[in-house]
This record gives sequence, C-alpha cells and structure tokens, in this order.
Amino acid sequence: MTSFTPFFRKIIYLACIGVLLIPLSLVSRPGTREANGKVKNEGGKLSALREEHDLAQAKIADIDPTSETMKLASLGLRGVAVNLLWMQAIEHKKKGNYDQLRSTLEALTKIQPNFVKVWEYQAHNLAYNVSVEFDDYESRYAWVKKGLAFLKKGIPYNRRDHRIIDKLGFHTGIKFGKSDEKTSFRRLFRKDDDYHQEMADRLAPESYDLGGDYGPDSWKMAYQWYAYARELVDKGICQQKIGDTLYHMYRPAQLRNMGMALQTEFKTSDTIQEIWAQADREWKDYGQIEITNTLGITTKLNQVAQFENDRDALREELDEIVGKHVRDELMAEILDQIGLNDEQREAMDTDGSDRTDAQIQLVRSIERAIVTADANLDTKIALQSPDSERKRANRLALEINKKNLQINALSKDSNTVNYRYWLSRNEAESKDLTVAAREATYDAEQMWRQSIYDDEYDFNFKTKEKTVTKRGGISLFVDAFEQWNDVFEEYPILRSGELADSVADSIYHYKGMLDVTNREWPDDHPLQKVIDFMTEDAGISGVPTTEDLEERRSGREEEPTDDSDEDESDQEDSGDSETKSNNQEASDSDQAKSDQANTNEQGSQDAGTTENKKSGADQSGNDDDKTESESDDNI
Amino acid sequence: MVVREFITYWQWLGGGLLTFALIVLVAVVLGIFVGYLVAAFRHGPTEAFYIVSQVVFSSLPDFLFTSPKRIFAIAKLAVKEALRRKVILVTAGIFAAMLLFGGWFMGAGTDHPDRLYINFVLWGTQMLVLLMGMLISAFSLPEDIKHKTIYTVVTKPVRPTEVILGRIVGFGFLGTVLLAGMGLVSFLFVWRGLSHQHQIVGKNQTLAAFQTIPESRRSRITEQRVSDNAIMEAVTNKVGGHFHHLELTEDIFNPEDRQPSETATNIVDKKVLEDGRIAYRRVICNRVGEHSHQVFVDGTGDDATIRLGPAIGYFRARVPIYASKLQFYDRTGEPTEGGINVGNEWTYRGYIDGGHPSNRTTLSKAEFNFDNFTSDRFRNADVLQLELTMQVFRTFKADIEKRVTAGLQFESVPDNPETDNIVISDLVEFETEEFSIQQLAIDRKILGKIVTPDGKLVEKGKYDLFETFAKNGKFRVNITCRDLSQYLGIAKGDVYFRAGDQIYWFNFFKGYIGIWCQMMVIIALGVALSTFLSSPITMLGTIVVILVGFVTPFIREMADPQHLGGGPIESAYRVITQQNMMVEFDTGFLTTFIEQTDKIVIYSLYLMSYLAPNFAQLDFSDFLTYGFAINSDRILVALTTALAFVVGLTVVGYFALKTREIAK
Repeated sequence: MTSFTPFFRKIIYLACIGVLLIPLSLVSRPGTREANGKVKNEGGKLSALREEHDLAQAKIADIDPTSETMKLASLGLRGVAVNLLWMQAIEHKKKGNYDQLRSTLEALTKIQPNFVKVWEYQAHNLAYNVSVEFDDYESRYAWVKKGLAFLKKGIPYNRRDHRIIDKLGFHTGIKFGKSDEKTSFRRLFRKDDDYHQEMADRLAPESYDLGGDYGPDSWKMAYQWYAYARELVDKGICQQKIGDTLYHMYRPAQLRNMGMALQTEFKTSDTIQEIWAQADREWKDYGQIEITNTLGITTKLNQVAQFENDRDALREELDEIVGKHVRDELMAEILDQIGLNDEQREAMDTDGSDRTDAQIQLVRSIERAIVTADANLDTKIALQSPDSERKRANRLALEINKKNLQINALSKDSNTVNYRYWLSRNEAESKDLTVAAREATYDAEQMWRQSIYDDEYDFNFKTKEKTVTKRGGISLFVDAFEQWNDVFEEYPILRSGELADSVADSIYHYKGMLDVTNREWPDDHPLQKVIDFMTEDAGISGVPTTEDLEERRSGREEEPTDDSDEDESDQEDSGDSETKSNNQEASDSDQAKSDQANTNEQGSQDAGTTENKKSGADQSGNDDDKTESESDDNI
Repeated sequence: MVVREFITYWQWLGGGLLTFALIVLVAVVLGIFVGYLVAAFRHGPTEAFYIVSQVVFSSLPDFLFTSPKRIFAIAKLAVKEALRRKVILVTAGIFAAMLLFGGWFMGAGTDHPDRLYINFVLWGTQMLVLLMGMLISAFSLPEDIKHKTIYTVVTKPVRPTEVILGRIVGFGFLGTVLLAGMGLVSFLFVWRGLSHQHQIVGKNQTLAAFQTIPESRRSRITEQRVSDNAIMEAVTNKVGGHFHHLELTEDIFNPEDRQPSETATNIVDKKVLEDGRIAYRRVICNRVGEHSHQVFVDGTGDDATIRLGPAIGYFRARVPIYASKLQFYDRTGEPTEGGINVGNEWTYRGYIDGGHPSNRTTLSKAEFNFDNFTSDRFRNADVLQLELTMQVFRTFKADIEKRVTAGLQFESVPDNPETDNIVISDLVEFETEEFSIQQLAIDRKILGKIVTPDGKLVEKGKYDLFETFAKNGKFRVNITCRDLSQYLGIAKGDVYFRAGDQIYWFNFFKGYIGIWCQMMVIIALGVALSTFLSSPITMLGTIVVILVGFVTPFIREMADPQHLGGGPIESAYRVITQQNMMVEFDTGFLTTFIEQTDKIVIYSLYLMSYLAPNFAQLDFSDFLTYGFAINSDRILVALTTALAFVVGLTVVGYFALKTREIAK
C-alpha cells in the first residue's frame, strides 16, 4: 500500500489540474465571429473583457514571434528581466558602451513592446543624451538618427497609439531644426538618402522633398509625421491621446518652423512664400476647429473676438436696466484696487475700435484682473436693478459670467499656443510686403558680411552727378527698414517676438556699420518707433531711442555756434567716447538680446536642445523639463 | 577597452601565494576545529581528539598514493554517467537555438557589430557552460548515494581523493569537449555573421563612378567631411546596415621620402611630376566602426577596375605595449593624482585641461612613461602605431564642426636628469576621435630638439625613437589638450603602442581558456559541496558562489575601508538619518559601535570575496570584444587561480567524504 501512495497522490494531482482546467477554459474561451465580422459568440468572460478593453495582443500590435518568445522565455519573470536590462542599459550608457546600449534596448523593447513611454524615453536617451556625448557633429547626427530609427520601430508594436509618431515628428523637428548644430544637421539631412530610405516604409521621401536646392526638409518631415498620426486618428485606427489644443496645433506649427528655417538658409523665394501661405491657411483652419479644453468648454480659437462682442452686448443690455453709472462706480473701485499705470489707463480709455493690438492685449489682461478681483461684478450690478427687471438682469449677469468663463478659457488656450501672434506672423510672411522686406534685408546682410558699408558710385566731373554703381550695406539697410516699418504698421503684434528679434539683429548690424564709418544714428530712422517699442517692451538695448535722439538734438542746439579748435577737439573726443560707449552697449545688448531670446514667450526657443556637450544635464532624467521644453518649442 | 590591472604574473603570484597560504591556514585551523567539535559532540572530547588525529593522519597516504589510473577509471564512469543524464545534449541544444535566434538581436546599422557578436557568443557560452558544470557536478554524488550505486565504487580499492578527482576530471573532460565545440561553432558564427562585401554604387566599377570633391571639402554625396588629400569620392552599396565612403586620394612624395609599398593593391597610378616629385593616386575605403575593406585596383589609370575585398579589421588581436606609469599634471605643472574630475559618474578617466582664456598657457598634461621601450618589441618597424582612446569634455560649444584638438609630444627620460640632455620631439596636433580607437602612425625618425637640463637648446634635427629618445629603454609620451576651456579625458589603458597583431584564432582560443577555468572551478565546487550536501542545496550553494564570483570587484569595493560613507552599517545609518557621506559623526558610543561593527562586516566581506573565485579575473571576453591579445600573464593568473581552487576544493571534498559513513 505504501509503495502505491505516491502514485495515487500523482493521480489526484492530475485529476485536480484537469478539473481546474474546465472553469479556466470556460472563462478564457475565445469569441467567434461570422464571415462579415459580426460577433457570433462572445466567448468566455476573460475573453470578452479582453475584447471589450482592446487588450488582446493582436489588437494592440502586430504579433512579433521574437517578442513573444522572449516574453515566454522569461518564465513569468518579465519584471525581473526588465529591471536587469534597464540597469544594464544605464551601466552601458555610463561607461560609453553605446553599441551595447542599443543592443540592450532592442532586447528591452522586445519584452515590454507595448509600453509607449519606454520607446519615447529611450529614443530620447539615444537622440539627445547619447548623441551629445560625441564631440564629432557627424557622430552626433548619426546618433540622433539612431534614436529616431529606434522610435520608429515602436510603431508596429503600438499601432493604436499615435504618440510615438508624434514624438517622431517632435524629435525630427527639434533635433534637426533647432539644436545648436541645426545648420550642420539640416545640411546633412538634405543629402542623407540612406536615412530617407530607412524611413520610407512610413513616409515617402518625396512627401517632404521641397525640390530644387531645398531638397528634403527636416521640418517638412516633422510635418508629415504629424500628418500621418492625425490620419491614423481620423481613420479611427488610433485614439487621440493628447488634449485638443496641442493635438491640432503641432502639424501647422511645423510649417512656420520650416519657413523660418529656410529664410535663414536661403534667400526668400516663391517657394518660401508659398510655405508661409500654407502655414497661414492651416493656422486659420486650426482656429476654426472646435477645441474642448480641460474644463470641458468647447470653443474655437478664433472666437475670442466674437465672444467679447457678445459679452459687451449683454453688458450694454444690463447697463440699460440698471444705468451705466452703476458699472462705472463699481469699476472705478476695482481699478483703484488694482492700481493702473498710465499706459493701462490710456488703453482702457481708448475706444474699442481705435485700440492697437498692444492695447487690446493690455485691456484683456486688465479685464482678467478685474474678473480675478471681483468675479461677481456683473452679478452685483444685476442686484441693483429694479425689482421688476431683476429676473432679466440676473439672467443677463449669468450669461455674462458664462461668456467670461469661455473667454478666459479660450484666452488661456490661445496664449498657450500664441495663436494671435502666429496668425499675424503667418499672414504677414506670406505677403509681398514682408517678402520684399526680407529680400532687402538679405541683400543688406550680404553687404554687411562682405564689409561693404557705403555705396559705390561713378562721379561725373562735368555734370557733378553721382551714379550709384553698387549700393552699400547702410543704404540697403535703410531701404529694408522702411519696408519693415510698413510690415510693423500693418501687424503691430510682430513688434515683439521672433521676427522682431531677427530685425533687431539687422538693426545691430546697421548700427555697427554706422559706428565703424563714424556716422551718427539718423534722426529719422524708419524704424524709430518700433525701436522705442522694442526697447521698452522687448528689452533691446544699445540702440538710440527717440528720447536719446531728442537729448542729442537739444544738446546740439545748446552748443556755441563759433567753434574754436579746442572745442572741436573736445567734441571729437566726446564723439569717440560716445562711439566706444555705443560699441560697448551694442556688445552688452548682444548678451541682453541673447538672454531675452531665452525667455521670450513668443520666440521659438529650444530649451531642450541648447545643450552644451556633456554639461551634466541629463535630459532623460528630468521628464518635467522635457515636457516643458516640448510645449515651448512648438508654441 | 577598460584596463585596470597591469601587473605581471610574477608580481601577482607574490601576493597571490600569500593570500592562498593565509586561506589554507585558516581553512586547516577551522577544519580541525569544526571536525573536533562535531566529533566531540558525538563521541566525547577525548575520543574526538583521536578521531580527528586519525582522519588527519590517514589522509596522508590518500593524498600521497592517489593513483592516476584509478582517477582515469572513475573519470570514465563520470563521463558515462553525465552522458546518460543528457545534460550535455540539452546544453548543446540550447546553444544551437541561441545561435539560430541570436542573429535577430545583432541589429544591423551599428558601427561595431563585431563587439555585439563576440560579446553575445562569449556570454552565452559562459552561462551555458557554467550551468552545465553546476548541474552535472551537483547531481552526481548525491544521486549515487541515493541510489546506492556509490557502493559499487567504494567497495573497490579506491581512495576518496580518487573518487573526487575522478569526477572533477571526468566532468572537466566533458565540459572541455563541449566548450571546444561551442568555441568552434561560435567562431564560425561570428565569422559568417560579419563577413560581407560591397560594390561601388555606379554604372561601372571604375573611376567613372567617382565624383569630384567640391570646394567646401565636404562630400557631394553625403555632405560629410572628406580627407584633406581626397580629390574624388564614391560610395559603396549598403550591406549589413552600412556603406563605405571611398576616396581617391592624391599624395605627392619627394623621391627621398618613403614611398608607398610596391605591393599596395590600391594604387591607381603613379606619375613623376616635372619637379621630380612623384604623385600617387590611391583609392581608400573609409572605416565604419573599426572595419574597412581592402581595395584592389586591376589595371592603371581611369579605366582601372576597382573592387573591394572582404571586411578587414573585425578579427584582430592587438598586442599593446602599455606605459608603466601615467602621471597627470595640473595647469601649474604640479603632479596630481588621477587628473581633473569633470563630474562624470564613471571615474575611469582623469581629465587634462586646455587652459583658460584668462591664462592661455597651461602646463596640464598626461605623461605616459614607458619602460623597456626597445625596437625589437616592434620587430624593428620603421613606422610605429600609437593608438589612443580619449574622451572630450567641452565647457562651451566653440566651433561645432571642429573636434577638440590634442597635442602629442615625445620625450626622453634621462637616467640622470641633472646632467643628461633631454630629447624632445616637435609638438604634433591632431583632432581627437571619441569612442573608437584612434590610430596615429609615428615615423621612427621624428623631428625634435636636444636641450640641456636647464632648457638651453643644443641642436635641432631628426632623431630615432629608439636610438636617441629611448636609448636607455625609457621613453615618455605627453598628451595635452590644445583647445582653450576644453578638457580631454584619458586613462592608463587608453594610450599604447601597437606592437603588432597576434593570430586571431589563437587569441580566440585563449579567450576560451578563461571560460574553461571558470567551468573547472564550478565543477570542483559542485563535486566538493555534493560530498556533504544534497543536490538542490549544492546547486544553490554553487549559484551563490557564481553570483559572488561575478560581483567580486563590487564586494571588494564595499570592503574597502577607505570607501566614502563607511561600511554597510554606517551607510545604512547615514541613509536613515539623511546624513551625506562627508558629514562626520559625533564621537560617542553609537559611533564607536557602528565603526567596530563595520570593521567586522568589512573583514567578513573581504574574506568572502576570496572564498569565491573572482570571475572578472578569469573573464577575457573584453579582450576578444575589443580586439586585444590576451597576454600570457593573464592566462597564467587564470590557470593558477583555477588550480588553487580545484586543489583546495578537492581537499575540502576529500575530508567531507572521508567523514561520511559511506566512504569508510
């Protein structure tokens, strides 16, 4: 009997296993479908749940035998294997074994292929952190590509998630187009057939080839990645995984980035103008898309003005009931409480239709402050209405508050993506006026680079006439500034931001030329008003403002008319020292401008990519920073 | 490649023997003491004394009269038994499957596929062989005892030493055969995986497929930099995830200069110019990672057919001649320990700086001192290969398209620095190449000057490296950073003269000796433990030893009394109380208690690290991965270590078996 005991025990075990398999098989039984795809039988509970929540591997991704084998081979210790591989990857990175790092990442993503963040994080690691470890820019470029190629491998494993494709767009745009090495990278990119072929299974190379000298463009490729992701979402293959405001913004934003990049690399042309025109069209389309924000409010970015008009009409109606003086009195109290400066008061006092863009912005910010100071202003006004009209007044106050809520939400979204600035910028850049200004600036900059400052001319001794044969930088810049002035007149909002920065660069070059040729800043500089604004608003320095020029004029008037040699000498000294001082200021202003560029909201700074090699800042280690830079970059 | 230890076998043996003697002494004392305790517990203290004495004295004939013949007979039995268990077959099967699917992870497109391939096969072989060794040794004796088949052996006139050694030899033989097979298959796998050929992209394989280089000196095809002497370029087709850039170069030589070798296969044509100089046009295949292809030019001139041979550079076994000492100097010229720390987490390399804008002259340098630097070590070659691996740390962007520049200067090391003149070579500047081995060809006769000890110039000229610079066998190489505010990272193993290459397959074989040594230690351990433990416990014990063996350097680092933050107890206390490593504890009972406890723990850890073999010392995979010859000193160290463990474990196993009833 004793010798039979183990045998019987084994039989009992087997029987138990068999019995337990029955309920397991029942709950896991797969569903069946008819030929037309209609569910015939839902299958077991587990199977139905898997179907309901799209958890089946085949639903999430293509079935990869290697990946599945590796998952099985880890014998249920997938978590341990993942941890070991992550640690190994960190060790390889620390010791500079980058080929081994890449190979480890291959294995890692085979056992956790459906974890999108792993792909994103490690692609960022390769394209940013590993790439900057190399001193040779060609190696850096190669590692950026390796990071992107790695990310692309994650697409089939996560075909219901568009974020990997979005990231491809983001990194393609930023790393090639905004990093310190952007000029070199974009040059290499244009000739990199090998890379274009590597990506060809997802993006046809001709889809981002601008043709002619421009060739394949990295920003256009970024645009196409975003377009590809949106196409998948539109077809219902992917679910939209990010908020409406940014989701719809990314694609059109790449067009203006492309326009800006090409403008610095080539002389402006019809192609570039057409890119800006397309950017303008798509940005306007973006403004017409219904966007639902985090508060659940659905609006369109181009509706701010309409909402404001609606609200004003409602207020007028309310004021008619209670009398205008009630609002004025309450407003006066609040404004006292807030404390306005002269400029703000002037903006508030100016009639709505006469307000400049800057004043409109100011008034909006004051109105936000008013709402913050007293959110119930209109309700309070309604409470002072006669009893007979109280009900109507309360209804109006309620509607006004609702509109305020919408306006605030919309303004917030609008500011996040800098909608109004780019609306004007795209439109301006696509117009002949700006194209002409750019062409004139390009010519002037060429002269500046060649150190040709003054006009060259033939002098006819008989007629005493001068015929200009070649124009110098100074006069060309003056022409360009006149044209820029027209642009700024039409689009005052552009007086600060990235465009203003580039014009400011030209102003510094122009001033430098004046200093070298020992000339004074002209009293009637075409951009003088803009310079005044930039000095005050955008923080540029080193260029005379109207105030400085008036001081100079009054100083001249006070000077004695009968000059002595000694006086002249003094003046020269004074002039020299002023020149030196100006030079110093200009030099300082470069720094100031550089600092300003890093903090300018409207600029397209690249906080995430202005890395100094091995500066110790490990971007992958700080996800918060990364996210911040991502949103900044695309605004 | 990371190289930390440079000692010779005899240097190592001195310290090694001392440690071995200490461990033997402790083991003997501990063994006798424990044996006595056990015997005393079972038979009383007086009887125990006799029993222990009897065991010790009766062991002498066992050790002295152990018969190789009987060992061989038992080894044969062990082989049969292991074959019956089919462990070898399973191991071979897993290995075959590993190679079949391993290629999937050898991702194309990497610059160093050779490293991945070799790393993969060595790691796989090592793991499988150790696992196999553990399984066959751990189950052997306990199974025999369980099934009572051991009586068929112990009833014969065999000694316990022969039972143990026979098993170690038998299993070792099987493991060796398996390892040899795996090595051969691995070699073929790597060779097959890496071999490839390219063709030039173009209608035909002549210079017609080449394009001229634009004035920008950047490739018209890829926009990448081209060599200074390149006049035309082409690219090959893409194979194995990469393509090569081909350059047609033009070099003009004076008749008295050393001309390109007559046997060179890449010369397109040779022309004598009007001024008597000779112009050579040659086709160069640029490296990808560390491999290239030999260029064959059939015919001469523009119609010559150009073809590329198989990949060269993957299978190499460099013989490096390292400096005996590396000394860093700071910017004031004072010697420093380990160079500047730029904040890298990995402190293998020390850094030298290139000066600062406020003080442009820096005396910071890395000085490599070579001993026994004689021409016979380089087979009297006219051109020496200096190879470097350096890292760059930039403090500002500077010119993005230009790599940081390093300076190289050679110097004699006089026997009497106060009286003897010094020979100094002219400074050579070169752009650094990171993350790869940079090769600089150094002509044996180089330009330089001779100066007196107080720095006065004696003469200038061309001097022979061996006959003038290193006439006393001593020689110095100075590396400096030539870019302001930038830094160069360097370690002792980063700079060496390449004395030539060893035969690759022989080096590959030497690499497997390391794995063989590991396997023998594991087999001996498994057999020794299985004499007194059950199979699962033996396996567990062996796994622990393997793990400890792999992390030995880490344990020794932890057991270092100079380790910042103290020992394990102190570190734990600091973590709990949130005190950083630099904060000093207040004196008192707690501090004394922590420090004393740590001393005991540290000493235990230190001892423990020697009870398990340091597998890092027996692992030569890095040498094969990075293409370096494994020198005989390292092989001897590995063999001696393995022998010491096998002997030690045999003795342990003998006494354990002897004390068991079974073997009496």
